[in-house]
Amino acid sequence: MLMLAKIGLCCTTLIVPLAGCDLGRARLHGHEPREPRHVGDVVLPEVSLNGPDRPFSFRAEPGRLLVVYFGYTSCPDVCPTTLSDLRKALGALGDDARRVDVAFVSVDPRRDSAAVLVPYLQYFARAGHALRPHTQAELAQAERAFGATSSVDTRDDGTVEVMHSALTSVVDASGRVRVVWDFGTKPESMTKDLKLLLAVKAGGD
Amino acid sequence: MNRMVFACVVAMGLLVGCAGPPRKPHVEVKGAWAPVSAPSARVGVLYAVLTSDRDDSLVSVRVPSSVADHAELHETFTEPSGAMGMHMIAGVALPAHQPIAFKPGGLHVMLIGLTSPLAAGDTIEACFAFRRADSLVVRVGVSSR
Repeated sequence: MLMLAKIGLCCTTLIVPLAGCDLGRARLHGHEPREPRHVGDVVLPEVSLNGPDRPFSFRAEPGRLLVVYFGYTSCPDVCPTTLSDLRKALGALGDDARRVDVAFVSVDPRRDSAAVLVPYLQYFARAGHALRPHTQAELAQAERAFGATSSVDTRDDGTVEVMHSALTSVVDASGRVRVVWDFGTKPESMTKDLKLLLAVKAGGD
Repeated sequence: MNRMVFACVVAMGLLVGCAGPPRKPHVEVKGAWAPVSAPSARVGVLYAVLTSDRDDSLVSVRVPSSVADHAELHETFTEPSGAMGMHMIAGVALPAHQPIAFKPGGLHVMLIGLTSPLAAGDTIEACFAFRRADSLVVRVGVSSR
């Protein structure tokens, strides 16, 4: 049984670069959505420091990948941990990192103004897209498409409690989520997944 | 029965008496660090591993007002749905000789209202206060994640 598994792995390794198809899927470290997840038609406002908001679609440019994370800037632990792991993963990708874009969706847009959100994301991903939903409905629609959730509750004492699914999604040029990383996914695993998905793309997807 | 309980209590009292007052626990704080904060982030975090030589608990961590408005003990948790959140906790039990790790995705000291971003090379003097052990001032270095 072990032998068979090993042979299977060898074949997969050999076939992927040649055929440029999805046979390498089993080796992704993250998980694939159970149902195909199409997010390419979802649009959120991208904010900048000087200029009007621009509509941003969750679809990678051709030949590229788009990494999407839902979080908030007042998050001290989970969000910066994930974003810095992603930064490490992109650093290890070398030149290929130029083919990966990053988008950060604020689940706490009331506190995350453009002035807060843009420098925050730039620290982790220089050319990242800072997305700030105008309405709760807009955020909820995007979250539904990604299978994400969040809630922001302000308590009587003024403290704000935020819950959110700490998932990172990788989207391809067709607007499909190819892989999802849970919180705690190691940077090396992210790098390997991105490499694999970029190789498959290069093979002519 | 009652007499036996009484005898035990007396015996324990004598034992304690012989040993003198119980020694205070000593807590070791190792690997304390704070990640560099993003330029516009209003919050920061401290991580460390605490080990006490006797049962004790961490009650609070304080940082100078020049660093942040205040610090709170927090714990990140994951709901069955996979959603993550964090809540403030009143204290953290430190069972004897058991290292308790404050680390990403778990226990952490949240710095609320940073006066300026935490930059690599900075040092924060954080005061760790315990239920029994004497308070400790720990120099916490800021470094990249």
